[in-house]
This record gives sequence, structure tokens and C-alpha cells, in this order.
Amino acid sequence: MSNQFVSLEHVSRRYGAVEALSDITFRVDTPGVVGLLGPNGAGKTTLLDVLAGLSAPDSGSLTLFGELLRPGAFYPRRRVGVVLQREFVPDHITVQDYAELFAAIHGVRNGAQRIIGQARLEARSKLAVDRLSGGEAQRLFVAASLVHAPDLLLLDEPSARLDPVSKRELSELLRRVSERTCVLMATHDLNEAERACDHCLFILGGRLRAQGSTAELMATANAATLEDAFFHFCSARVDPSGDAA
Amino acid sequence: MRTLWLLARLRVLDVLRSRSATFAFLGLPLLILLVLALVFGSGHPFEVRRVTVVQASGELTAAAGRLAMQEGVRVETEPDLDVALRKLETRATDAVLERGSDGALRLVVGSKDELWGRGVAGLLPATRLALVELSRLGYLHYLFPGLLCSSVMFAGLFGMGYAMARYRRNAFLKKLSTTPLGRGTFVLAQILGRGSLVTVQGALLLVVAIVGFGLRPTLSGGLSAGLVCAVGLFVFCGIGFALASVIETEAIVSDVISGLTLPFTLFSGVFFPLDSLPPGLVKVCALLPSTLMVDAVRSTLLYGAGFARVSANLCGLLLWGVVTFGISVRLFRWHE
Repeated sequence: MSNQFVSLEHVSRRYGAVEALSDITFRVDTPGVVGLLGPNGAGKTTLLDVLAGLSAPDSGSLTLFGELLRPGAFYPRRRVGVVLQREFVPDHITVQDYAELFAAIHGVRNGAQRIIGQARLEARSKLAVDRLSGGEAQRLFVAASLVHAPDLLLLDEPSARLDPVSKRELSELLRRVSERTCVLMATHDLNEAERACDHCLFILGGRLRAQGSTAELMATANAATLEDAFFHFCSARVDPSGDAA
Repeated sequence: MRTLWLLARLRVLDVLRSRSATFAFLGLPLLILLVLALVFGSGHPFEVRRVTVVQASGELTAAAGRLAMQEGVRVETEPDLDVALRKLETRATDAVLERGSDGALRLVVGSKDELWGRGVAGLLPATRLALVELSRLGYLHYLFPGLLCSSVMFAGLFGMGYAMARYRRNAFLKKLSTTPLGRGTFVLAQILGRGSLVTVQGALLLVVAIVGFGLRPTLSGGLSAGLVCAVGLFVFCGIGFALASVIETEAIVSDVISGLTLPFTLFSGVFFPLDSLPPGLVKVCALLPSTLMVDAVRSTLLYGAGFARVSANLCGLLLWGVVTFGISVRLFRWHE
């Protein structure tokens, strides 16, 4: 099955003097989970912003679902779901309100029930979202991003606030979703990435350092774990604070 | 001791390192002083007394001209006697000069102004003084449209300005930008949401003013005032949106709105007629959206004015709305 979900050709993005992305080229042609790995400040969120149509590349080209996205062109938002690194919900909005809003935005009938069911928050649907635990809230955000059955799902550190059980559940959910969807997930959790990702992209200083299947990358790095592979591809430029040099 | 010093220093730096806090702490009192100087620098606004001349022509015109030469007296004309008397009732004017049914000039003043009225009548040839009992609540009626408009103003400024800056800063707008939701839909929803709240607020105020304080608006006057308020809300939402377009954080937006409160209130005829202010300032104040709204709501709600009378105000308000929304659409960043 080849759908050409995502294709980036020589994409660069600069913020003032900072080159956040430099000459990024990769493509994803099949459904699956792709891990976007790199230290803080590597350019992962910028790359996800470009893929989500929130930030236009300064140069290079982005193709989604076989259609080249020119500057100012229509972005296929109905085929893309996004979970941001930092999700915010206005005060007093309940789980039910939130689910109804995103179901309505995507025009999905009975979508609210689907979101609440998938997030397993039926018993807490009257509760304000800001009263949920971090894991419960994250389940809600992920479920809302899936309500319209997107072909491309972009997740920015989705497991950052999850306990081990919730992380495992998220991995299982993403595996199920990835049977027909391309899931691009930025994460610092290398155990989770090793468990969930079919392919990985290592990014450092805005540059793509390595890409391939998880197994290939570990073999190339002669690493027993993805964490070892991470240090192989990224350690030379990681300072003690964990930020990219 | 060193801990005490460090904590105190941190408290000072907490203010000084924030532009908005520094402005609020150091700039706002100066701004308030400046505004008060502009308003009260030439005396107390209530020192100026107003005479409304009904259907000025011939002898009445000459009388109006004579009064206008007196220091501290403003003369305005009004074609409708009922409206002029209603203005007297609400203290928008201090005396009504008209030609009585016997053909003689008649100066109508409240009974408490008898002494002043005698002096004014004495300046005019063959003018009879007529005293009327004015309701003690008349000035409250004068204030009511200003209160109503202040609610609309804050609903628009905070409802749009503060909310949009906060939603942008918290990445809620970024989240919505990843969905098919149209930006126009989101903005319209904010206006509708605020409009619903301010409608309930205004209706509650109106009911209390009618039941508790004897306000007697006509149905058409009430509906017209409602329409003006709706246009006013659109305008102040536009101003709030424009503020959020050029100011980064909701805290600074909030400070700026707080800073605008006093001038908007004092320069818009909420508490006293604008002609009490220096003439140059009056011309500027007359162009403020708050002034246009207060004047139109007062005219419709208290004096039963029709749309023709307030059409210029509505056009001015719509122009403000178009300009501010135009600026916002061009400058507003939906995510950082």
C-alpha cells in the first residue's frame, strides 16, 4: 500500500538568526508510527508545525497525500489530526463541552460520544477538563484529534504527562490507529518510541541526522536499544543540560 | 537580614522587569492625573450651566445670543419642547427657554434653581420664570445610558482583547488553527457569546432602572438603544481585537484596557455633558466611539430620538468597527 502520506524536500525554516530546520528531506509512503527523536531545541516542534500547516517553510517543498502544498494553498485539515506539546482548554469547559466542540468542528455526528468513549472518560464527562489528571486530559486530546479519522496524525510529546500504564495504553492505541494512518510522533521517551515506532527520524540542530526503520537504525548504530542509538546519532552535540548545542 | 533584602529586591524587580507592571505602577497614576487635569483643569464641569432654546427664531434667537455671551453659560437649541423638558428632567440642561402660548418668552427651571433662574430671566426682556418640580432621580436617569454603555464597552474590550491574547498565549488558537474551523467563525462566536451575556446584563439593568428608579423609555427608544449597543459591542470587540493584535500578552492588554477606562468614561459624556470640557477637547471627544455610543443611547432611551437623529453616530461607530477589525485581520497573529 503506497499513499505517499508525507514528503518533504529540502525544507528549511528560520526564526530570525536561528535556523530551526535545515534542508530536511524525508518521505512516508505507508501507514505506521514514525518517531521524531532529538534533544530539546532540535527542531522537532518546528517540523511538526510545518507539517501541520502552522508554519510555512522558507525554502523547500511539502507534499501531503500526493498534493504539493504551495504557499497560501489549501491545507487538507480534514485529513490531519494534531496534538500539541502544550494543550490548553479555557476554564470551566467540561469534557463533554470539549468533545462536542471538536466533533462539531470536524462535522462528525455522535463524535462527542466517540471521543469520550475512546478517552474512557464516560464517568467524568461533566468534569472541567482542567480538573482531569494529566493522563486523562492527554487521552482526551488524543481522542479528539482522532474523531475525524485523520490520515495523518501529528503528536508532539504525547506521553510527556502519562504514567507507565497510560503510556502503554497510548502505544497500543497508536498501533491500532497506525494500521491505516500515518502517525508522526515527537517524543523524548525512547522506550516508548522503541515500542511504538516502525520508523524513526533523528533530528539535531535542525538537521536530519538519520532516518530509517527502528531496527535498521539500531543496527547501523550497533545499538542494543533505541536509547543507545539516540546517543550514537545525537550525543556529540548534546550539552549536559540536554539541549542541542 | 540578607534574605529579607533579597526577597524585597525580588519583589521590586518583579514589577520593574515587567513593562506592563511598570506602566501600571508608574505610568497609570500620571495618566490619570493628566486626564483629570484635562477634564477639571478649567473648573468643575457642573459650574457650566446649560440653557436649551426651543425652536429658536426671531426674539428667541436674540435672547439665546445674549445668554451665550455670559461666562459659564452654554446655549443649545432643540426643536422639540418635550425633548427639551425631558433634558431638564434628567439634568442634561439647567433651563428651557421657549415661547409660551401667550407669545411671551418663558424660562423653565427646576424649583431648586429659582435664584439662578431669576438672574437669567432678568437678563432677557419680558421673560417669565416658570418653576417645575424635578424628580430627584433625574440625574440617575442621565447616568443610566452611560452605565449601560460602560457594560458594553468592557464586554467588548475584555471579551475580545483579553480573551484573544490569552487564547493565543496558551496556544488554544494554535490548536484551533490545526482544525478546519474558520477564523471568522471563531471571532463571530466570541462576539455572539459576549453579546448574549451583555444582553442579559443590559436587560437586568433596564428592568431595575424601570422598576426601581422610574426610568420610562419608550418601546421604540429601548429597541433603538439595543441596536446602538449591538453596534457598540461590535466596535469595542474590534478595538479589543486590535489591542490583542499589537500587544503580546493578556496582562498588558488588561492594563491598557484599565488605563483606557478613565478617559473613556470622563471624555464620553457619561457623567456630564461634553460641552463642559475645553472646546478643542470637545471636538476630539466627540469622535470617540464611547461618546458616539453614549450620545446615541441617551438620545434614544431617554429622549425618544429616532434613527435619523442617531444615524451619524451609527455611521461613526460602524466606521470605527470596520477600521479596527480591518487592522486586526491584518495584524493579528493566531499563534506565537
